[in-house]
Amino acid sequence: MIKFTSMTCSGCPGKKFCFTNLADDTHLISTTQSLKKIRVALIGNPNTGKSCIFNELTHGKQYIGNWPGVTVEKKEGKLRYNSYEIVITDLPGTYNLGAISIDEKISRDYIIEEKPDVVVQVVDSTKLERNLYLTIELLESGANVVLALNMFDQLEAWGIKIDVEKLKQILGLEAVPTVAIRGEGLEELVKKIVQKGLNPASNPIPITYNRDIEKAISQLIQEIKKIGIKANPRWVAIKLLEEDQDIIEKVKFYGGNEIIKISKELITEIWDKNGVHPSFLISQTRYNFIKEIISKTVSRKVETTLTLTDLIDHVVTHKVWSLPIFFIVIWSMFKFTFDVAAPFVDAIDITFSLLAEWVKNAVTIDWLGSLLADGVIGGVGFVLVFFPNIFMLFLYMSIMEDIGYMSRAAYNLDSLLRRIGLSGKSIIPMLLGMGCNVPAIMSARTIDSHEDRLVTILVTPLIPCSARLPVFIMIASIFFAKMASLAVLSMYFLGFTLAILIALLLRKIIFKGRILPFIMELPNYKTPTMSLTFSQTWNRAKHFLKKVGGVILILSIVMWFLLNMPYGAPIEDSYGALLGKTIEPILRPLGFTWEIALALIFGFIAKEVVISALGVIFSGAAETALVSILSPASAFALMAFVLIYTPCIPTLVTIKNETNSWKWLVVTLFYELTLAYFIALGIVLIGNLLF
Amino acid sequence: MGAWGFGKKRRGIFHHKESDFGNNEIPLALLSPGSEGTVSHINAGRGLWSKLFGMGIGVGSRIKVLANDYRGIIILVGNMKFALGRGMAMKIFVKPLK
Repeated sequence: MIKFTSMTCSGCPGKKFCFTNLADDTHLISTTQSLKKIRVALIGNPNTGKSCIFNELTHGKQYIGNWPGVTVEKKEGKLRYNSYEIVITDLPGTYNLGAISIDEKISRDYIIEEKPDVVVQVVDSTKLERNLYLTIELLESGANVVLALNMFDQLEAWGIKIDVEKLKQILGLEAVPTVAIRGEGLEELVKKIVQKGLNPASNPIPITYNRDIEKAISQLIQEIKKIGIKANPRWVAIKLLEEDQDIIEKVKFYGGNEIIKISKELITEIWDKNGVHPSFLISQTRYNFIKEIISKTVSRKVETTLTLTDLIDHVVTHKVWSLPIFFIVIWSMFKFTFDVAAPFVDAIDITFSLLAEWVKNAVTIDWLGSLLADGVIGGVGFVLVFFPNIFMLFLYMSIMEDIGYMSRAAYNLDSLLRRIGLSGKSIIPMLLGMGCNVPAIMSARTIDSHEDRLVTILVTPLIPCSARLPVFIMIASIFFAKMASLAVLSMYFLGFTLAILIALLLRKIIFKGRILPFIMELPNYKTPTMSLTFSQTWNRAKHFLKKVGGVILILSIVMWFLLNMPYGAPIEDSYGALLGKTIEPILRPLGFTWEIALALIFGFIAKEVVISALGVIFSGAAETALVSILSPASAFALMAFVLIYTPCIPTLVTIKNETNSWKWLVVTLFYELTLAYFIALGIVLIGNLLF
Repeated sequence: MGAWGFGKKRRGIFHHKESDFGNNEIPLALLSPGSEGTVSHINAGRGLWSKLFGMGIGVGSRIKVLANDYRGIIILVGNMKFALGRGMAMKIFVKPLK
């Protein structure tokens, strides 16, 4: 029996029961050696409640993003049933196994290469027809499929009836009706998973194509079997006939150049004979096959009424009102992110200052106290001070996504963004970028085309993140008095203008491919399940913190060493000063001194570190020192420099991870440093001319 | 070839026989809000093509146009709603229904 606990699940409150999560019960882990392991992959279209099922089964121990179709990272959870340990991997949402975006590729590669024992496809029962397209592809790939017919309770409202038994019979697989948000049907689902896991015989393939294609497939299968590719030969053959670039590369990798040649010939042959490309025939056959299944298993009272969603959409996607609504959403995002987080930020700030003070007094060895207080505790403080803002931003974006607003925003802005070489889907990274560039760059994964995605990733660091804001505010308030807010605002203007110009330039020079045409599903509006959103956001923010926190902590310790070694020497003689003085000549045309050069180097860690670095370097008297060093033109140039110059280290690391290449890290670093230098130089030259 | 100019040499595009192009076939982008049509042909590259099928739009799908302006077009297919950019809406051809 599944062990139920009487307590309510933190991930899914209000539920009567919850499956015990193995990882939670340490006493259970000791007995796991004797458990038989079943590996399960969860796959499905976006907005099918897949994440909710995962949450229910694994007790909410996961990290997910809520952008349409994105479970940002591969996430695993465990569940115990009788003597089985079920390891569940949640895959990013996908409409098919065609794999255009990175997300879809992650899902496909997992199914094909990792070959999980059971693949559970979560289906939105009210949209069964199109969900079955993925089912057919999964069956063809040789996966051992169980369907979770989710949202089964909503069928009545749509006037739909599904004959589940008949569906199972025709497709030759297991199907379980579920209502994930209430936990219904999940026990049955787990039973079927175990049943299927024990009988790994894959389902018979229920679909046959026309004679020409079937002939080509069997010819290709013969050849494919000769090479060692790790995938179902029939599926590979079909993908070759569909001219799937990824699969063509893989076959070549396994030494199948000859196969590619044969498949090319077969394609031309079929094309000539049928008048259309085989991939059309394949898709259309699947589509017709599904229509046939639907006609046998689904009955529907056809009535289209105006839904609440249609009414809201009338305003939200209105050609005039959509833009003001968008700006209100952005404005409230800022309000929410900064105002709601402010007390928490202050609390963390004060706590860490007090803690540092206490450690300094408590540790008798002078240098050790300083290292612990300024280096370690200060470093942890830097990281944690970000946390409330990041958390609120994530939460806000999650809620907007859950409600269903983000896909509308993408559509509303698509035609505008298209003109500057981006796609409507770039809007999510750009918005998130105003909070923090790191999650922003990660969220670019939903963008279909590789080129669109790279352009978005490369310009996102120009969007002023929340870490740059305090630097702007400090410099502006010192130098520009009444004009301070205008000066700060001009940085946002400059940042976005440069992002647009660079995007245009990249499109002209490097990425000349056309932007993929825009299509996005507009899910029905719904009230977000706040508790679920909350726990997911918490996990995401925590995960982000872990990823970035380590780097910042190490660098803040390095910063301490640079500023304090040789120990006891005045700051002008520290190693840091030496470093600053080495760079000073390059920055002199901008009017920056070695102190500023050094502070800018520390800004690599996170841009707001520039403030505290200036504070340390000028031993607390930064304001008067800066006024004596910088001309107003140079001060404005410094703001622009902080805006543009190198993305912080966490952002650079993210760029490297997401593009999977050092090249783009170097490109970003180089272009931003150059751009910052010349923009700042321009500001100084013009400023000196005018004043 | 016909007025649409889909010669066989055209790269990465779906080539239908001339007979597939009747006079009553128009790009989705030209349908006005409120009107309906059946998809007769999709003029898209292979990746996009299979994605559309996966999303539930294929030849034979019945489409109802909800909105159509400078940004693109919003359609209803069954109980699913989609937003398409103008470029996308020019690639899907429909036979309008009265």
